[in-house]
Amino acid sequence: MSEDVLKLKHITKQFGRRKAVDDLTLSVRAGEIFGFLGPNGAGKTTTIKMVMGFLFEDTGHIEIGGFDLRHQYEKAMAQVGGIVENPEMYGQFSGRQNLEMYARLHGLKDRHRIDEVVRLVGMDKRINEKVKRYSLGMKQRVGLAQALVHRPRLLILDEPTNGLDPDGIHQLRDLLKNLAHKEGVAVMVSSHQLAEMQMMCDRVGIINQGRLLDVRPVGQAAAGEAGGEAGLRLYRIELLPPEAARGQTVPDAQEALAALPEGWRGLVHAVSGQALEAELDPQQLQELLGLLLEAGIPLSQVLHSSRSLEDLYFSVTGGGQSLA
Amino acid sequence: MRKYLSLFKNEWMKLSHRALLVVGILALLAVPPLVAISLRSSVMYTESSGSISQTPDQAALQKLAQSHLDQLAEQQSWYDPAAEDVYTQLEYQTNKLAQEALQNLMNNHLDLAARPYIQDLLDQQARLQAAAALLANSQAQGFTESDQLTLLNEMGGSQAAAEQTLARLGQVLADGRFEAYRDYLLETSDTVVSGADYQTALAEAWAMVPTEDQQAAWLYDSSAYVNLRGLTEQYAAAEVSMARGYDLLNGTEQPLRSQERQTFQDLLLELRYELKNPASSVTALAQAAGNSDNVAKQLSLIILCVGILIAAGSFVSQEMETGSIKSLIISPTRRYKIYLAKLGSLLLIALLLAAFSWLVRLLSLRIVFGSLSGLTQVIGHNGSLHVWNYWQYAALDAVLGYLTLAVIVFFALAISTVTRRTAVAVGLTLGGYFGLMVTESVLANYGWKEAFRFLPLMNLDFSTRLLSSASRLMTLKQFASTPQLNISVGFSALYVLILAGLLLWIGLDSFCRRDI
Ligand SMILES: Nc1ncnc2c1ncn2[C@@H]1O[C@H](COP(=O)(O)OP(=O)(O)OP(=O)(O)O)[C@@H](O)[C@H]1O
Ligand SMILES: [Mg+2]
Repeated sequence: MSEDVLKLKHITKQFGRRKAVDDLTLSVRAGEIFGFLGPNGAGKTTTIKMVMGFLFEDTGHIEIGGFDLRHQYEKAMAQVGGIVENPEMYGQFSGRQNLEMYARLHGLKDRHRIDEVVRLVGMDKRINEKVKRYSLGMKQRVGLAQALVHRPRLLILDEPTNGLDPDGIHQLRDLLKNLAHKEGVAVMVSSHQLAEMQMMCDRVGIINQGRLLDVRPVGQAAAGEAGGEAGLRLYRIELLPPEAARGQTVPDAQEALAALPEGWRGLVHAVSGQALEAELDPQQLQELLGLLLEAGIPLSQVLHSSRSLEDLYFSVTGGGQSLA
Repeated sequence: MRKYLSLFKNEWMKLSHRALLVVGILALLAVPPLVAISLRSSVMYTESSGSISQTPDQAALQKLAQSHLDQLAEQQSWYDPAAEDVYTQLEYQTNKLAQEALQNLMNNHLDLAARPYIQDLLDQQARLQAAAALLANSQAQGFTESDQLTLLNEMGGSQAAAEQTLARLGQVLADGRFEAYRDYLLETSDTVVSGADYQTALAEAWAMVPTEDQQAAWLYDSSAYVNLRGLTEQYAAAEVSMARGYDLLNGTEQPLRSQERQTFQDLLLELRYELKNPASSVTALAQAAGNSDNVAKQLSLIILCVGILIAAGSFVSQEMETGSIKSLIISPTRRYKIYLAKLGSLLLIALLLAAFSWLVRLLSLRIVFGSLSGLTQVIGHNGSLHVWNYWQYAALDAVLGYLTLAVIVFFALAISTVTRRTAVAVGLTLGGYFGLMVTESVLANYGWKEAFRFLPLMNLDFSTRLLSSASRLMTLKQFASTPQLNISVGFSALYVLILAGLLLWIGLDSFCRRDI
């Protein structure tokens, strides 16, 4: 099991008499994408703001990368990158200047790194324009670049798909998966977009009225509630990651696809360098696994990520309830 | 340290990107030369219109005296010589005397009778009339006792003095002799001081002025004459104060403490120097240069204060309002460092602007007035005399101006942090800044014990308080012992220091411990 990069222990935060976060304990591991789900006013942003140094928790401990947030603040914060609610930057400066200012506070001098993240978020054409002329989605992209520029071990994004176009959402999903699964970054994403979360996350935590109600892997999230139901489900088949292969070369998702018979190629697609996804019934899954093993492709795990994350969400949060 | 540098660099970038800064710099750049040029041109105007001429212009003086004569004659025609009213009678009489005096002057002494003499003559006539009314007819005029006292005071302090003045004035007006007039001036002055010792001291002062300067002042430049007269009166009052052991210079008539004795001694040193070397400092041009710099200094300080006030008052709140504070909070930086970096960059920009405005002031004076030698500052300190170049003096004054800016920065930044509203922070600080100016001028009339009750309201406008004593400043130690507004400057400095500390603590506490 990978180490916990973010650890929250019994965090409570009260605004006046309302408990926005109530005895919340959770951790986010290196290399996973953790989805933080909950209705409006559930306490997602409040939790994230405590981790990012905006709010002071009433009780509990926060640890980032092994550093206590209150006692080793600067060391802890050096591990974090992220966006809280909307990305707000200095409108009078260009995107690049904003990035430079932020990077400077991290003691980062490498100009190439800034170019690199700008390209990564697809803003290289307009990075020298003033931020006040940016659209919401462009700000999101630069915000993401800012969150990444210092190579944080923990990336926290509060509703990052807000304002992004479908292309942007798709790129973001790939980017996050890549960061988590390839570079071992711990990613925490809050959202209301269940479908989005289902496609993106390895684990989800569901929060309502400040309390964390359920945490489980996305595959199991479906299995727990809707197991045994017949019909198609979305499966995620993860190949053995290169770092686990002890120096031997392992096939990636594209090679795995190529090894499958013609007829399967329409059904199965590669979602990242080391994972395949397919909508199958249990019978088909057995066949597919058999084919892959026959082709000598080492697998690490098979996740079961059916559409019923939505069902889980509603049953846990007591669906349709009015705001706290 | 590197963290501070990075923070500082960022805050500096934000400050230097303000449009307001550009406007402020332009204003600082424009004000001193504009003021200097306008004052310089007003001197040129009076020169060209003949009121300051290099040689006495007989024709012009004749014309002037004649026009005054005509005026007096016209007034005279309004009086009814047959009227019973004593007051009217006296007015009629004094007007007649004045006419005769002027006529006499025109016939005999016009070569000596410079413009100030004629002017003073007419002034004295008006005073004479007032005194006459008082003495002759005060009951009938319905003066109350306190009215009488006030008038008596104006005339020299007592009934007897007033009568004496009246008699003397009558004499002056009656014979119209230049010498009599001058004796009269030596005797009466704006101070309440009188007596033989005062007369001697005045004569002593006049004797110090080189003859040619005296002549020039009397004849060619009326403002030089007035300034010179002011210096002699100051000198005599200080001299008499020392001899009698009472402060007659500032009119408080309090016994002199030993500290004040030293101050008076130093003042006498300065005055002696100025009386002996009046040529460059008492002329209209030198005065215009001094006034021009004074006005430019005050205006520049106000521009600087308001500018820095807006910058500081919005420096935290604007980030809160626009949300840009997020990228600061997310960075691996303790909050107090952020606050200190903001404070530091504001203090630095205030320093640069104060230095810049000092430079512009000096340059524009130099260019417009040609030379700064007339503005040389003469400073007596502990029995020795120091002559300061003007630029040194102006630099000192820029430093004091900077102290005001620093207090404003502390104040505005703290309010900006506590309220998190730019409008509130700027409004409160602006209101406080101008409100304090007014309050202080009101409080200046209080004794020190009463003034203490208003302590929280005072001492913020540091520089104006310090500047008036700056001319006597050599070392901070002596500076600190110069009483201002009835509270010592040392105390003020301590007070301001504590205040700045308190404001820093309030701002830091609010910035570091509150949720965002
Ligand atoms: N500064 C604040 N003062 C008072 N109450 C607050 C404050 N910030 C948040 N709250 C309250 O705390 C609760 C949790 O808010 P939070 O912003 O964490 O919700 P959220 O899960 O992010 O919701 P959303 O999905 O709408 O973004 C809400 O009831 C909200 O009203
Ligand atoms: Mg939220």
